[in-house]
Amino acid sequence: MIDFTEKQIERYSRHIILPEVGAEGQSKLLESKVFMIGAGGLGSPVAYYLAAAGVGTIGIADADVVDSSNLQRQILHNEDRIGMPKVESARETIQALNPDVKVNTYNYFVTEDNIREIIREYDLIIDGCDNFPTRFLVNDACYFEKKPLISGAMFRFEGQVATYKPHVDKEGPCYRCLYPEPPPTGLVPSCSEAGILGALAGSVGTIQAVEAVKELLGIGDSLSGKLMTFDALRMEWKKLKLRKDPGCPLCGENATITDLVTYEQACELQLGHS
Amino acid sequence: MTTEFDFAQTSDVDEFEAGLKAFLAGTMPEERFTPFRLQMGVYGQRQEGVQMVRAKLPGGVMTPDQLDVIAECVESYAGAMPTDGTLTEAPEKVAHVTTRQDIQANFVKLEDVLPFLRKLDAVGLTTREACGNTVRNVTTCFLAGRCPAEHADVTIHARKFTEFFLRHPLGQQFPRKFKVTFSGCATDCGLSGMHDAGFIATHKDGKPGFQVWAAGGLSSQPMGALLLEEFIEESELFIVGEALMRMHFKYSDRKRRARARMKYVAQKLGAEGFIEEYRKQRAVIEKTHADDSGYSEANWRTPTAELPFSDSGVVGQHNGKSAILLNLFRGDMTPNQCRAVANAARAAGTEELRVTAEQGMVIADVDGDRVEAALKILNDAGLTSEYARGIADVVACPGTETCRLGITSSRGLAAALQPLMADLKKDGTLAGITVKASGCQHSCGRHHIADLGFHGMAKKVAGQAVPHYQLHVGGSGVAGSPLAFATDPVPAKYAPEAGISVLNAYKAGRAGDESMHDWATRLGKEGISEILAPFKADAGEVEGLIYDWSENEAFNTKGNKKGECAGAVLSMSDALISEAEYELLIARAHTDAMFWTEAFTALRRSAISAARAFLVPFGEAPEEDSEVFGLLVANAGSDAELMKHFNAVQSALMGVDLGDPAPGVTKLKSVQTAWLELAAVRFAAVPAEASESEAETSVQGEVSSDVELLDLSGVACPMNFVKTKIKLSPMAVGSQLDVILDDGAPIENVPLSLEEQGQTILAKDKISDSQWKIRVEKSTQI
Repeated sequence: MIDFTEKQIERYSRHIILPEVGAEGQSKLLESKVFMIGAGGLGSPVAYYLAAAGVGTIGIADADVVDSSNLQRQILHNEDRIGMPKVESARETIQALNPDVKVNTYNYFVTEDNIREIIREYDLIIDGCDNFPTRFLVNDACYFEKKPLISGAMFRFEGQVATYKPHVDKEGPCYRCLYPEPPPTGLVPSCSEAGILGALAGSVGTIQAVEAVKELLGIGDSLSGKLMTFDALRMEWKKLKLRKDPGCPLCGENATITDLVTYEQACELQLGHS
Repeated sequence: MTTEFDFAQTSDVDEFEAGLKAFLAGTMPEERFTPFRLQMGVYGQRQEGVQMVRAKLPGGVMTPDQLDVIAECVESYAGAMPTDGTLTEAPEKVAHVTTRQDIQANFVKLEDVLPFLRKLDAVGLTTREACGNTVRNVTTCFLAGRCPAEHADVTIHARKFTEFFLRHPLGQQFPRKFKVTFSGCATDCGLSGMHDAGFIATHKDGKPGFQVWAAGGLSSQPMGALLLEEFIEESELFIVGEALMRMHFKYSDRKRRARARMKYVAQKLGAEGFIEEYRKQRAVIEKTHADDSGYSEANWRTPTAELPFSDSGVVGQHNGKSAILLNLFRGDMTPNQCRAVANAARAAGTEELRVTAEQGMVIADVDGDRVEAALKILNDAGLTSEYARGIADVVACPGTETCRLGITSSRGLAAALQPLMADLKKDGTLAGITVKASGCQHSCGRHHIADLGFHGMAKKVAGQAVPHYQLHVGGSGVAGSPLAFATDPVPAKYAPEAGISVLNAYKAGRAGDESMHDWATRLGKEGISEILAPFKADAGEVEGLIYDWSENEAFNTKGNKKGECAGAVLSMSDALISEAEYELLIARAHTDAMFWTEAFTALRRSAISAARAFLVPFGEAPEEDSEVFGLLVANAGSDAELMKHFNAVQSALMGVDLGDPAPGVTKLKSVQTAWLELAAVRFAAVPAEASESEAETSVQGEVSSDVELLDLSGVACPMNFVKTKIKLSPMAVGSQLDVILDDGAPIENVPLSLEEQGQTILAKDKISDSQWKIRVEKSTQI
C-alpha cells in the first residue's frame, strides 16, 4: 500500500472516508493506469474526473489540435489553447488539477499498427472517439489484449455508455455483439451535420468516469452486459441488457476475426473530432 | 427414564455463541454462518430479520419443567415483528409442535437466539442438528412405552440411537437430511414407510428384534421405503443405522440438492442393488461394532391388544394407567397453554409428556382417578382431547405463514377445514380418517400419506394466479402401504367443500369396510375427477378466488425464497476433514480389536482424505487417490508445518510391515491423529481471535502485542477519521490501536464512524481537559 504524503491524505480524504474506497482503494487508484482515446467532448470529463480521483497514470491519444468549435463542450481546453495539440492541452489541465497524475500523450492516430502495443501497459481503456472504424479498432484490440473497455457514444441529445470485458465476464458481449460490422458509408450523418448538446457530453463522459473508478476498485455492479442510455430531452436514463452473441465474429464460438483488420474511414471529417 | 439421557451439551451453545460473534463482527462470512446456524436448529423464515428456533425431542419426550421453560422462551423471545414490513400485526407467540415431534418457535430476532438457546440448554433441551443436513429428530409412535400393541418401548431405542449418532462425524457432513423412526409394532404409527430408516419392533421365533425399512421419503417425489432386513437383533441396531448412513454419505447426490435424499440412491440402484450395497457397507463396519456392550436391553413384551382408540381422547395403557391425547389446533400452544399442560401433568401425578407427529401432545401415565382433574386444567386453557387422532385432527405445515417455500396458506386451510371435520367426526365411518395439508409440493404436511391430503400450488385462471389445492386420496405412511393418489386441483376457496364431497362419496360408495385407498383405486382417476368436477375454477369468479385462506393480500408468490432446509453444504475441505476423522474413528476401533490390516486400510483412507482437504485451497481435486500425495507436495511444499505432519504420515504408511503390523499401525495412528489436529486448527469454522483476515486484496502485518499510539490532537474532522483509517488499513485484524482525539466534534464523531465501518471501540477515556484517548480493535478490513 502507498505511503501517503500529508498533501495526498488531505487531497484524497473524501475518498478515503468512503468504506468502499478507504486507504487501500485510494492506493489502488494511484497505482492504476488508464488509457483514453480522444480528448474531446467525452474525453474532457473523463480526464478531469480520473485526474481528480488520483488515477496515477493517464494516457491520452488524440491527433487533433484545439479548435474554437470544440469549446462548446470540450471543457478540458480553453481560449488560450486554440491551435495547441489537444493532448498537450489536456496534460496542462490535468497537472494543474492534480500533480500526482502522470500524463502520457500520443499526438497521433491510433491504428491497427500501433494500438495493441500502446494499450498493453494500461489497466483500463476508455473510448471517447467519434467514428465507427476507431470504435471497432479499439474494441478488437481490447479483446485481443484482454483489456476492459468502457465505451461512450453520443448523438444529438442521446448518449450511451457500456462496458465490454468478455475476457472476464463470460456472458458479457463485446462491441461487435451489438454491431458486427461498421455501418455502410452515408448511413451515418457526418459530424458537422449532427449537432451535439455540450452538457450531454459532460453527462455521458462523467458516467464513463464513474464506471472507470468502480472498475478499478472492483466495486458495485459493472455495466458489462448492459447499455446505459440517456435521453436528455426526456430526461430518461435506461439500462438495457446486452447479450453476448454466440455468433459474434470476434468473441463468438466460431470467430472469424482473429487479428486486427484495416478499418475503413466512414466519416468525411478528419479523425479525432468528438 | 427421561433423565437417563441428556442430549444437551453446553459446549454446543458456547460454540454457537463464538460463531455468532464472529459473524456479527464480520470475520465469519454469511455463507459460513448459515450452515453453522442451521446445525444448531436456527432457521430462516419467509420474513426478514426473524428466525425459527427448533428444539429437538427424541421420541417427542419432554418433561413439564422443560415445557415451562419453552413457555418462558416463547413469551420472551418469539413473536417479534419482522424487519421487512410484511406483517401489519405482531405475530402470535406460540410454541409449535411439528410433524417430526420437534417443538419450535417462530419470529425470534437473531439477537434473542442466544439467550433462547441458553435457557433451553439449562433445562436439558438441545437444538443441535434439528435442521440442516443432519440426522434429524428420531421419532417414535406416540404411545411408545404404553401401547398395548407394542413389542417394546422403542423410546429407549430412539433415544439411544440419538445419543449414539448426535454429533457423530458422519452426520456432520451429510449431503442432505436423514430421517429415522421407530415403531413398537406393525401398526407402524412411527410411519416407517416415509423415512430413510424405519425400525419396527417385533418378535421372530420368540426372539426380540426389528424389521427394518429404508430409503422412504415424501417431498415432491414420494417413494415408499423398501424392506431392508426382515429381522435384526436389538444389538445390530447401530450397525444397521451406520451402514445406512454410510450409504447416504457416500452415494447421495452432493451436487443436486433436489436429488440428494437417500431415496434417490434406492431409485437408482433398485431395491436389490441398494440392499447389496448396504451389505457391503455393513461388512466394512461389522468389526468396529463387534464389541458393542453399551447397549442395554429395552423392555420387550408380548402385545396384548390393538392400538387403542377413544372418542374422548383418553386411552388405556398396557400398565393399567391412562394417556390423555390432546389435539393441538395446528400444533400450536400459547405460553399459557404450555403451562396448563405442564400443570395438568403434575396434577395427574406424572412427568411423562410427549409431542406427536400429528402435531398433538400426550400426557401419559395418568392414574385413572386423576384424569378428570387434569382434563379440567386443560379445558380451562382451551385445550381438548376430543379431536385427538380423529378426522378433526387436521395436520398442516406452516405454509406461507412463515415458510420460505410455502405457496399457499396451509394453516389457513386447516382453520377452514377444522369445523367441517369436527362435524364429520360424529360419523362412525369417517371418524378415523386422516386429513393433512401442505402449503407446497414438499409435503411437510405429509399429504401423500393422508386418507385425504391437500397439496398447495399456484395455478393460472383467466390469466390470474389463483391458490389451489390438489387433493390426494387414500395414502398411508405405514411401511409397505401405498401412497395417496394425486387427483385434481381445485381453487383453495373450494378445497374444504371438495374434500367433504370426496369423503361423502367414499362413505356412500365404499364396498363393505373398504379402505379409502381401495375405494379410490376402484373408482379410478375419472371417477374421482367426476366428484371434483363441480369445484373447478370458474373464470368469472376469479376475483373471489384470488384471496387465499387467512390472507388479505391477493395471492402471489412474491414471498417465496430459497428454503434453508437443504442446509448449505459446508466447504469441500470440511467434508473431507470429516471423512478423514470418521476413518480415524474406524481405525481406532479396529486397533482396539487388534484388526491391524483393517486399521491400516482405514488410516490410509484417512490420510488420503486429509491430503485432499489440504488440496482444496489450491483448487486441486484429482480423480485418482494415487495422485493425491504427489499433488500435495507439489502445491504445499513450502508449508513447513503441513509438510512436517504429512511426511510423518507418509513415512509411517510406508513403515508398516504387514507381516507384523502392530507397531507400524500404532505409529501411523498417532501421526495421523496429530495431522488431523492440525487440520482442525487450519480449517476452523470459527476463526481464531488473533488470526489474519482472509481479505485477498490487502497485505497485512502480524498482530502486534504492543499497542501503537496515534496522536491526532489538534487534527480537525474529518482528517482525524481519515488518518485513523489509513493507520488501521495495513494492520492485522485483531490488532489494537490507541488514538488521541480532541474534545468536541472529534470525540463525538470519530468513534461512531469507526464503529459504523465495522471496528470495535474497546475503551474511551478523557486524558486531559481537551483530549481523549480511545482504543480501537481492528475487527474487519477498513
